[in-house]
Amino acid sequence: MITKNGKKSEKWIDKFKFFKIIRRSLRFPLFLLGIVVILFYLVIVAFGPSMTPHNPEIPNSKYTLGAPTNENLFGTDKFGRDILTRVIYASRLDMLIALTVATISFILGSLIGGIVGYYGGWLDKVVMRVVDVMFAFPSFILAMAITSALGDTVQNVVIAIATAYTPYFVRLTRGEMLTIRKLQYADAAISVGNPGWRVALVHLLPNALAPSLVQMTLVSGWAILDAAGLAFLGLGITPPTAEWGVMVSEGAARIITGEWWVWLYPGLAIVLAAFAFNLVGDGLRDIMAREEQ
Amino acid sequence: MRTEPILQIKDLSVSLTSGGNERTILDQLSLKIFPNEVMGIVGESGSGKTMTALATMGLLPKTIKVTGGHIWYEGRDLLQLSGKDMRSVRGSKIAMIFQNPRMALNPLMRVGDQIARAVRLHQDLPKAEYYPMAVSLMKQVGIADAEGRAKAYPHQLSGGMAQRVLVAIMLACQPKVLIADEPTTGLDVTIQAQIFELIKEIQVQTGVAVLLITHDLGVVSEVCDRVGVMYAGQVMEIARVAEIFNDPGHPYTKRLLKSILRVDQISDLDTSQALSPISAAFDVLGCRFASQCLDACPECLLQRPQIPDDDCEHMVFCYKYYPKK
Repeated sequence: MITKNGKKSEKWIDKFKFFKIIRRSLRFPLFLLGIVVILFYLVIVAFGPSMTPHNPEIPNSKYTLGAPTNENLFGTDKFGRDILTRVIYASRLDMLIALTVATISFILGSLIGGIVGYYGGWLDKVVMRVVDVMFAFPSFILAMAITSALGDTVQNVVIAIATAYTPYFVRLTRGEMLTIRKLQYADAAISVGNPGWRVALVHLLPNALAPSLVQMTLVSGWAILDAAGLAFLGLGITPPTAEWGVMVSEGAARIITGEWWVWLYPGLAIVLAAFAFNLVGDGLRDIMAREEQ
Repeated sequence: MRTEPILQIKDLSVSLTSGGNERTILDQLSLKIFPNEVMGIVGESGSGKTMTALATMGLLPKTIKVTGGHIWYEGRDLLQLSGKDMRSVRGSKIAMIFQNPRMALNPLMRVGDQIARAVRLHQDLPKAEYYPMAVSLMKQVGIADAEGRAKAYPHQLSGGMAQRVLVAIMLACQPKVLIADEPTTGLDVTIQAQIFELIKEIQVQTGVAVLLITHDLGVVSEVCDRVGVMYAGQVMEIARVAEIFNDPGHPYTKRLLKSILRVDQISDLDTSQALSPISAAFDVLGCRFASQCLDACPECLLQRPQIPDDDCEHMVFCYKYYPKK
């Protein structure tokens, strides 16, 4: 690590720091577990569809409601479609929904929260009262209302859930902004002659995003639950699309008749995904709390 | 007799309202800063030094309001300017460097980029020149390995280095007036000396007028040309540095100077003369030092002496001083 060349040794220190971060995250095994599970899902999203010989939507009348076999590892549903294939295709859709919902509500919420927190005044009061009203509804009920108003498409489901979670980010970012705008570098940025919007968006907002990034992982998990929940109730994503909630809803009728594979596997996929996102979110929060100490 | 002041603060009053109580934290403050000079402001904590700087930059917190007076710069009253006009003054005409230099830098942006942004705002250069200009400014303020340091984040810099970066940002603005608000708070003594040397050097090179706010009389005697002494939001005395030290006029200045330990004199600190906390002084109508002053007369408590405006060589806001002359 000690070299005569000053620059080289500096790079060594940087690498050393990188290892340090990895070693530190080992102290949070649940966080790592969450990361591994999400990575596993992402691999499935990327390569899964090309690895399965079946089609998720074409019925097969030869083997309906079939128990798991070597050919159909997770069994087949009442139209004879391979459930493993459908779970794989559904993970593509659900992960897409989770990540777009998290991204849209993060961008929208932190922009609104940042601006409102920086400028304050009547704008702040109006926006925060609107946010309060939105918080008064459980976000799932809100998403339900918006979906049924907009119509049943994937796009509308994303819009509905993202709208329902935007207030979380508005509140978080506004709160951070209120403390950050009083710090000296805010004054310094103004004193150099920057216009207000640039101080708010370029210099202060990036410093206010840390808690929202944690929230983003949590919201990804919640978005999966909500999208599946909506589909289970017959809202938003509808059959024959391969979606976890749709599949659980199709399997729910089979619980008493004993075809357990129809509902169990998509249900497990939902639980595991939501669980992993929550682990990562909680882990990030713990790591950041320790950093601050 | 002298040139016109570049920045003139006249009868500036600033007050803080909290819970229905109003407290005047700057009381009819008047100051002149001439081109090409270093003007110092000294005073204890809470005497309103920083408020003066913030009011000039238009950066007062929302709870603190200007209740009267003017701040003239190039014939314009800064207090009357719109937000947009004020923005054109900040940086390019009047720049400020802050106490706690590391707190005054954006923690998520590399310091080279922060200087380059100031260059972009204030210098008419092609886009490709912003960053090289920033690096050369860093060299100018005495940062070794400027190319490497430009890539550092503020938390990777020492306090002295961060203050040099702030000075570089200020240089990028090319201002006419520089307000330095206790620029060496939190730095150790050798670094303090270096920073003041740097400020003095830049003042000589660029001819910028400097308003140096400090509570260190030693610094004042070395760096400043003139100095204003403040107490509880009022200016007590303004004079050339040599006069303040050799012939102080105001009782407060005399007491302040007595508090310095000097190597070349045997001093006997008289603790019976220690001042009570500054916060008690704000409710007085007249001279706020009167309740502590050994020579106070009843008039002192009611009204401050009016001093002719053109008498700017040595102004002493005290009745006791004038009969002598």
